[in-house]
Amino acid sequence: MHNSKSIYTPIPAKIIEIINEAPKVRTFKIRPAINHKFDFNPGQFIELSLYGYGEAPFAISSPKKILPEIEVTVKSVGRVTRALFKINRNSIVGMRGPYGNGFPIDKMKNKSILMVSGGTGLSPLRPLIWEIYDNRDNYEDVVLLYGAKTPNELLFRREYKEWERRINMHITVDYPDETWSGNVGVVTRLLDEVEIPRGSQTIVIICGPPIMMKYTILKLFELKFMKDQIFVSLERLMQCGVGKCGHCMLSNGKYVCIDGPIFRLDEIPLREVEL
Amino acid sequence: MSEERYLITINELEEMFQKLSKEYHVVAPTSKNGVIVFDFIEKFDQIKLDYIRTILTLKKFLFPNKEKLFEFQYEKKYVKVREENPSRKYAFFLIHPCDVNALKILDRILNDKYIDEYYFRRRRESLIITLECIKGDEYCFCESMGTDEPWKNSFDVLLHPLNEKEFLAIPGSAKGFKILRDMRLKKTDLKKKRRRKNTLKISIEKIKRIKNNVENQSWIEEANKCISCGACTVVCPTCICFGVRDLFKEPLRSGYRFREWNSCIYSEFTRIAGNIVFRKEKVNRFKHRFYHKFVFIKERYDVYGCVGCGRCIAECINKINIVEVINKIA
Repeated sequence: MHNSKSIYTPIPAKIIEIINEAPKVRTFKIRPAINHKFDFNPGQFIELSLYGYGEAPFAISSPKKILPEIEVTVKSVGRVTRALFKINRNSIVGMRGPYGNGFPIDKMKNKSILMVSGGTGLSPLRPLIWEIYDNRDNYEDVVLLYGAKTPNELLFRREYKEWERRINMHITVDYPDETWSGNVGVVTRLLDEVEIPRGSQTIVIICGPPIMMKYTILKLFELKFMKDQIFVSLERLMQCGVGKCGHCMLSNGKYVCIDGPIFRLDEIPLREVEL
Repeated sequence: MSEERYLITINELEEMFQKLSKEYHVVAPTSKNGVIVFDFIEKFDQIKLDYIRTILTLKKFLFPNKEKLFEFQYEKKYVKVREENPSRKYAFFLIHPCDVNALKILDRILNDKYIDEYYFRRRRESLIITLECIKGDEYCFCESMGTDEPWKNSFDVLLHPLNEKEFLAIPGSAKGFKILRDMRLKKTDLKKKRRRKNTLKISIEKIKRIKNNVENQSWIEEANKCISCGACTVVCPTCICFGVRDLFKEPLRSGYRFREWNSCIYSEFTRIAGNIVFRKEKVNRFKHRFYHKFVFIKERYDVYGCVGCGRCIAECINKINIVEVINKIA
């Protein structure tokens, strides 16, 4: 059996389902080894190992209610992710975690929630969306804005209908195709075009590519949102996940892996969001 | 423990070395191709007693440059993972206070919320015989960093040179006390000699001021001298940033994961998949190293990440002087 003592040794886990989400994006459903206690907060991440190819950090993209199974949604862009796209159901992988702080759910209670997300940035938000969905009475207005390049690249489309029953969701794409009848344009445009919660009792959560975060924040400032209402999920090279290897350290000394990946905007230098 | 002092002669020191050699892998300063390094010692006369500094520090033993974390083996329905268990008993012999105190800093960083067992398995087993340093050179600034003397609980035995043949020996732990007692050394009330003062100095006030000088134009000038070789981080006793990689062995059914030293000075250090680099400009990487040592480690662990050993100055190809840089910025 596996008596792991080191913080760097993953526990064994099995791939039990692979879902094609979008071109170059797949969701892997993983089941940790039997008897392994695993719990997480929405927004936390795991280190996923494909032995021989390496290890990489991925946000948990599944709702808590499917525990002990979890899902990660992976875009094939690097060494580990490209290798992951070659494996099949029942393959053995390794996982460590969960790591990081997760979304500030306690502080979000009784507030209005505005989520702004782009591309694969919807993955860390999915467990939060379901958390809100399942405890909808704990929140005031809840709005989700989501943008992708093309309709093909919208993630978790199978769940939108359900989400929309309790959450105001607005979707936009940069490049529509013939099937698309919804909004067109970058996600920041939605901030002008749709009704969003405002005022000091609103918490904003942003998750997406650096450039999208930058313009979203600029727009939010224009709309008089304050730094202390805005939370961002940062992506860095969280290689060890446990505050040792140094790769993910920000320019103020915070580790994305143990102090983040969710930061309130006044906790980090603006240059970390390209401003 | 009230401080007991013993007198130990060079011959008795050799005796101590012999005894330790039976139980430990003894590491001490020695001359290799004309430079001083820490290395395994078989004979006492290989030891270089009057050294100033080595190239690399004890981290090369406790946190080696390349270290296997575990082996894996693909079986039919599972993957067998076998963790490495590095248990080697080191006696670090005649180590200057700066390097010994550096281990106390690593202890804090590596035993935060998560414990790095690869380091601690060796660290817990190791024995430390400190040799106080009375000379130093133009690169030493240990006094400014408060590391010219070994910190509390940092050593097993402290040696203080009185002359070429005699030392004071002071126990710093139960283990150290036993070593000295078993040798039946004579007690003494001789006093320590005064050490030569550092010529390189930095005030804590200045160090504190760099926090508010992030945008000082001098950073750019200083960073321009840097060639991003990373030597400063390799020789630094407290730099432990590392990368992790996997390697397959033939026939690609097994292999191992290892970590190796990396450096925040390298441009690819912050690169993520998709080729995004977060600290692209050299000046930002150059600054990051200073802020990590003098601000971030201090804020997180209440200790500075620098012991003033002077290695980063001595080994810098352009002799970028960490003290002069801070003096200029703050």
